[in-house]
Amino acid sequence: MAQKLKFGNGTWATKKGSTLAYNDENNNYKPLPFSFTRDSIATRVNKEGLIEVVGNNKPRIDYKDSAEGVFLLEKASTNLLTHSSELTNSSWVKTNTGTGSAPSITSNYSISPDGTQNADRVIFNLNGGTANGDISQVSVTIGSVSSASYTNSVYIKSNTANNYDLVVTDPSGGHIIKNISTEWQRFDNPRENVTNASFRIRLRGDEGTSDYADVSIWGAQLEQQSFVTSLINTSGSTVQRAADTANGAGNSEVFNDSEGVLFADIAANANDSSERFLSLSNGSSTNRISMWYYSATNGLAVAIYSGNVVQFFTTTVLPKDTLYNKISVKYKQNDFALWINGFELATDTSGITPIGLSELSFDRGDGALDFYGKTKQLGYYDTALTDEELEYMTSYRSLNELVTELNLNTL
Amino acid sequence: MSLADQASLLLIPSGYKSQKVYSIFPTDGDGDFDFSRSGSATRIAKNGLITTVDSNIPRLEYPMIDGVQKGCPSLILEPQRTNSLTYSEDFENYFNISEITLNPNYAVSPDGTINANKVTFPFASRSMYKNSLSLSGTHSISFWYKGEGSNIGKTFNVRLALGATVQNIKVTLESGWKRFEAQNNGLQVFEITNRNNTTIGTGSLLLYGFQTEQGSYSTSYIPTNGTAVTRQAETCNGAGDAATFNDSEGVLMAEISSFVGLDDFRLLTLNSGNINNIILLGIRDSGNLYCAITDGGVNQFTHISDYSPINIPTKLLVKYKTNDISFWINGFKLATDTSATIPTGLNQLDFNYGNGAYPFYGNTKQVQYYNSALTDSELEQLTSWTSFTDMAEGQLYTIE
Repeated sequence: MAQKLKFGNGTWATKKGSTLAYNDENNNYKPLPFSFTRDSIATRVNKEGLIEVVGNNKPRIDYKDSAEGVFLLEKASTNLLTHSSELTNSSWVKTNTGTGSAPSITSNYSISPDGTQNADRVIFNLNGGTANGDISQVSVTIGSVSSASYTNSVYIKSNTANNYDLVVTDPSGGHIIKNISTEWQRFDNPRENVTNASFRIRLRGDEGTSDYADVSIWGAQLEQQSFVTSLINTSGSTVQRAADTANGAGNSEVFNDSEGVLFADIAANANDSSERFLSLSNGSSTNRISMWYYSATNGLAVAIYSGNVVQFFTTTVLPKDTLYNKISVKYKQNDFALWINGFELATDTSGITPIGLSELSFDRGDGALDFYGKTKQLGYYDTALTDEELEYMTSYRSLNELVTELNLNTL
Repeated sequence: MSLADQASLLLIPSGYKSQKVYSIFPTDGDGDFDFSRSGSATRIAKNGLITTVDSNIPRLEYPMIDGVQKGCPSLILEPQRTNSLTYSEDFENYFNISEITLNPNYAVSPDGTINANKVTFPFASRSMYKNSLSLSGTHSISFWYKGEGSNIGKTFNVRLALGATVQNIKVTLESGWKRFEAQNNGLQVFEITNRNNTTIGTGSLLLYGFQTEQGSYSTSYIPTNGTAVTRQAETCNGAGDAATFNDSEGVLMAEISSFVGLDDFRLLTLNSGNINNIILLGIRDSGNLYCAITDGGVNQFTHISDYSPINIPTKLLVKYKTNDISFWINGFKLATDTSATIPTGLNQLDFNYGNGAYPFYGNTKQVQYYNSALTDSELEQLTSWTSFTDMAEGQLYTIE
């Protein structure tokens, strides 16, 4: 197998404006970088497991899900809370009704998920109250918004040896009980059709919460998304994290117009019904090999275009698109195939191949419909591999690896 | 024995003295370059700090990755430039600072001394600014900035204006020193502000080393203290002789980077003392890396690459032999020609066109010359890196 391009698989290098794909044939290392943009800072989980701010246009290798790291690409999002971690700020309203006490807040009490002592201590207390009107709460009200999906998220941990049951509301105020342990956990509550947005954390007498809770709270976020995205710190105003883009890896010397295989081990950030493409192309959408998440639940589509005419097209339903899937697309005249997780799912014995292949991009090839998701690795081979090789490439080396990658349970 | 041990001429910038850059091979001194620059200049030294070097002393500049010096130095060659911002460090004497609070000599600057200034915006919609500038033509504006504490991650705005034409550039403060660089066609107003949808509010930032220079790209820092200061152009030429180079066949390789926004051709040539017989590697005014061979004034081979960017070290190579030419970049053979004659009388290697024109401006990490046409396997090896770490750091990436 002549692998002409490698990206990731635990081997990462980044700098402002670029992340490094490469060729290492004959042990000669040649750079084939992706260009990268993001017109804002952003956060990631670093190798040490800490949330870290990454500068403008700096790619993010995220270690939240994987010790090997994944290349994280996200759409734009805005944290509508103006003080994400400063609960003493007046934007956070402290409420007590009935028997409840107003939450007591101590700034910078504990070490937060970013590794510094900047998490606030919040003590809630119902003082034995069990009625609907017994409340101890911190909250932010955004107010009227145009109907859309929103998501609340926040990091909370217990400050004592005890676990607590606390309500973290969804953006429409629906109460959801969360069990707060001694470890930091990020809780997220998405909600559709939100017209009046708010964020509340509380004990309430009739909601099944604990009577008392001594917890640390940090990194609250309310965003107009149907799913939670990486933390956007705020301190005085709402903040937008701009969208990530990555494109332009490789060159015409690397890619073969006649035959080859594009391999990706990827996961979607969410099942959000948008189209998110990964393409090997001639720099446009007319000649390309594309795979993309599309509107169907867990749907993946694959298409090959030559001269702007579709030559191979298939769709499939992934086990779950937010889990990592190993996907290979083989192309050769009258010989196309799609392999996912060790199985050949589609073939086509009629068609010609794209011409002028020159770049691998996290988009449709023409800069539109960017990919948002997590990439463990990409690979490109300049020959049509055998079925045995494709099966091997898209399979797992052990049951343990398969169970871990697909987030299965062992009995 | 490595391939480089077989080189007839090998420049890995490491040894120098006044007016001379030493090559590793040949060891008899015939391969050394003559260097000139009238007046001092600055560079990033091995300790990662900006330091000044004297007249005619070549500058070996060390690469920085995430604020840390890493890797081998390169020879930096630059054109003449004048910093017209007359107080580059004591900038309270240049800008109107009535709207901001200035703490001079507040923090350690990129030169390692406590001479960076802290600027605080006491209220919203405030700025430090210079009005009524009368700079015409394309100018490059640069300065260093840094955030502290809760200001890291916040943004400020740089406003560059000529009449009604205004550039507002939002800049994000980071924990280390970064150099702001931008271009403007003419300049009347230079302003640093907390306006224009910035997030710094009443926060602060550290500033150092302001420079405005006429040209389409920023060059190394030219300190000023009361008057405009000019750094003179550098030249580096005349390595080798007729015994060093082979008129029949050979290989010329260079690992170079240059400036984005070049205004002219920037060339490295193996030549016969004129432009009629040359083997050329370089960058066109369009920013394209390219290679050309001319024999007796007749072009034999030209390949213009669309490889980019040119501001990171790139390995270029040309193999020449009658009817057997190839051009390589970063491990890939981009072009060949099986019908070409080879120039005669090759006797010197210059950082210019062969007649002094189109001097190369940029950074050079290495130049190698072989007096035989190597195999493709050897050429691939010469233009590649030996490991992922070597490649990534050579291209100024941070390895995760």
